[in-house]
Amino acid sequence: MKKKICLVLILFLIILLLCGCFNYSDIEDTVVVSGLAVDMCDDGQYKVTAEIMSAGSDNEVAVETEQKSEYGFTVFEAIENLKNSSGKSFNFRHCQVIFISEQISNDGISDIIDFAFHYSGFRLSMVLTVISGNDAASVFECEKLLYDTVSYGVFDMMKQDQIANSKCPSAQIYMCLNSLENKGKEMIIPMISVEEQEGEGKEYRFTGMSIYIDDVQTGTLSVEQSQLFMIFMGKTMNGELTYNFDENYASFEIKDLSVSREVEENLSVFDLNIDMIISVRQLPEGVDVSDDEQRTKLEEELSARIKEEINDLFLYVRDTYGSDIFGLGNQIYHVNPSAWAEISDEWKELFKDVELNIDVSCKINDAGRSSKNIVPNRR
Amino acid sequence: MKKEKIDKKKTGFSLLKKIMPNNSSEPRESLKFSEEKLKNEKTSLNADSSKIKISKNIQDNINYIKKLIGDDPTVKIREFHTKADTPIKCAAFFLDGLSDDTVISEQFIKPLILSDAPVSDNVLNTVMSEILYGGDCVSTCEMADMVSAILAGDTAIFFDNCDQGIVADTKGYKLRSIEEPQNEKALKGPREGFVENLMTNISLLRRKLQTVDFKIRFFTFGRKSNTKISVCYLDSVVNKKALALLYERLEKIDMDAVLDGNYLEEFITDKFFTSFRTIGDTERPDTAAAKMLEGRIVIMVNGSPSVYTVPYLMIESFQTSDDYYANSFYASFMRVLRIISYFLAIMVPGFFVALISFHNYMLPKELITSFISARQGVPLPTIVECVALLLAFEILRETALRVPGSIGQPLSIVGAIVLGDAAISARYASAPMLIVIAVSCLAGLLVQNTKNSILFFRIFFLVASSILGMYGFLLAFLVFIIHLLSLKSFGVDYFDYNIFKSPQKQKDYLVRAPWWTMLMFPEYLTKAKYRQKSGREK
Repeated sequence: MKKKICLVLILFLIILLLCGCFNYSDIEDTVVVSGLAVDMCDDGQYKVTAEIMSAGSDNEVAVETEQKSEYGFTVFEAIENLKNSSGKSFNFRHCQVIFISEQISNDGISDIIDFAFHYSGFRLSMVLTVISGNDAASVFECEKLLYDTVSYGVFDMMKQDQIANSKCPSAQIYMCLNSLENKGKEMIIPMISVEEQEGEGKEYRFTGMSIYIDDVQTGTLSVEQSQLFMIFMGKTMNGELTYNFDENYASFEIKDLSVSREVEENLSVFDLNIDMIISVRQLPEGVDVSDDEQRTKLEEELSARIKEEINDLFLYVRDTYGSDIFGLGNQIYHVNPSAWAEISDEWKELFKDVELNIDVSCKINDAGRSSKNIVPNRR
Repeated sequence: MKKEKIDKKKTGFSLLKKIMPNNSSEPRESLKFSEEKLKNEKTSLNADSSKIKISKNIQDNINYIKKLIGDDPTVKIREFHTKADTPIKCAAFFLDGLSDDTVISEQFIKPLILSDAPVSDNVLNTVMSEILYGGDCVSTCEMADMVSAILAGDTAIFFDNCDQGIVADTKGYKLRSIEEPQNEKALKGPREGFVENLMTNISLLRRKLQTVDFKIRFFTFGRKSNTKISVCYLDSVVNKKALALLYERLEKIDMDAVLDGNYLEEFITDKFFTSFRTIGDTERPDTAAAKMLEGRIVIMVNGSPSVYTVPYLMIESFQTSDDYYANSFYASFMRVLRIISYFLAIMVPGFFVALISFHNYMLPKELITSFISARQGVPLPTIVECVALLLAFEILRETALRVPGSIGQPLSIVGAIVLGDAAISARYASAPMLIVIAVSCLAGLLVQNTKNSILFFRIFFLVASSILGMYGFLLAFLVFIIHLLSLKSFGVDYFDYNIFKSPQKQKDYLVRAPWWTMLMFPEYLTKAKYRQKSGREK
């Protein structure tokens, strides 16, 4: 019995002396950072602004936010200056968004991605967002819109959009890093603008996405183009399509999407097949979807329009920016790795000669006025 | 021998066993259970060593008793004789208050006085078979037995010209009536509870099990108290190894007094330095009978309403009599709830401290802001706050047990207001911590049978978590499991992980299967096989 007690005491002492309370910190000594904004100053220093959550001063307000900015010639230096500016420890584990100014985006963001990847306090699931037209820090002045912080509001907006509308692509740090290291797909980052509303303060709005070649922004796509891009990539879970039919607008909801891509043997022609199941939410005037002929005609017209738009998008990106944001290079790698190994270094040039054969098939499943399927047994 | 070594390697606990005390859970070879031993055992394992025999001269006996206990004003002496021409002189000794005067006078003194039996060489035989009316009287030649009988409330009767005396059962002291035990209330089922009188308790048990299989052995412990205890079991289903172990351990006891079963419990328990109880107790006759039916042994102590059952398994801490009187689905749900409550009670404070002090990045963002807000201005570190609240709760609980009933309710209100409202308003404690402690303590109150282990392991998990965070919590959990697996109760594993391998063993473990499915005895308790022959159609 004595031996056992001695053994337990010795073990306890060893644990206590060697590693006791190794990472202890009281939760009230922690400062929670919900978002970071990175800007470039005129003198070449990075300005890092942190949106900090603090406990509310009265019982009605649970959380208050404040911004704190520090400077440094590297992002890491700025972050360390930020941490040293307060007696409390900064907790970046709840930081969900990094806002980057357009200026840095145009100059290159590999420093930020590299830092975010190596810094142990960051999660790799953090989202990168480009602020267009303003300083990145200006986003923290926006209305919180029922969220605790602006950053969480932006994050939830993007997440909700992916579920409901599928216009906003996801650009988490690990995805961006993969794109940087991978020559077969270029990076894309969603873009947000800060707009001042009269009498209502500032609001943030999703305005499209930025396209990159390596880590440098080369162009942008609009919201509609972003949606088409998501359809191209097959990442649309839901979404609405609105088209003009003889000056009558009609809306459709995407219920199901299936996209397949194949590369032909010459490795420069790709076949894209898109199968869509849609529901009619607002009918074009004078169209009766219960009538087979009219419905088929509507489906064909929709298919043609979507095909044209996607083709236009592809050509626009290919010819204007030359950025393979569609991941066609990766497609080649998956099909023929040895061939990809030979051409990967010149892919940026070869991409400009790539052709795409698109086939879109839209099937209308149900009409807005009835929950019953028009055509039975259609998936 | 080889097989034992292989078993030890398989379990992997060889290091622990080397440093653990040599607490054998196997009976010694010489004391392995045998029918002969049981037949030859003495009724009194710790009998008084007085060797004085009863004298044929009644006056010597009277003088001896007077010298021994005559100065006690409650000791009554009644000298009388039969009405024969050559009367038999008699002397009866009894204690005022412990004996029933009516029984003494009607059943023993009156028949003797009215008898015309003369003095003879065979006085005792004559008296026992022809004169006395009383049902329970035994003869003895030992003076010690006569003295013990007087002190127990019986009447000792001496006869002239006879070297034996009669001990007549004339106990007539006031006893508590049979009522429902306060600590083991049941929603359904019997409302009887054991009382302080051994024979009454035995009768309560006998009424449940009216079978010739019901065996009782009596023992006496305590040199000053001469407390009678009984060991009861069902011969056909009892765990024989456990019975032999029990006798072996009881033999070693030598105390001055045994006032409650807990005195014995600490002697006969397998391992003392553990917070888990390996001997069960109950105040309900139906529970004791049910445990006997599964092969357990019931130990009753005169003067204590609690009876003890061995072997005792961990799962019994989560079983109540309600489980067997209610629907099996409801019973299973409640049992699982109790098991979950036990783990909540011991782990929640430690887990919470580990989470907010070491791993606050694992908290959802909504929760972390709430916790930061709640902890603002609290001067104590998290672990100190937790310990302080636990201490306050334990003080409150213990006080509520001890104070008179009239103060109980105001006390609980004060405690709630002080702990709940004032402490938070004054920033001595934070609301999340108070909620955690409340959940832990309420969960602990649900499983009262495990309060010892909850008290210890709650603090153990807390300390481990406060030192090493989640690592400490998991290390503490490992220690908990290893310690649990190392325990035995009279040769039976306290927590047998093998039960998870067999559906048959699960029928009355984590859940309570319907009665018609429980055809067999629990094989980890007894070698008897089938308890019932048929079930029913599903």
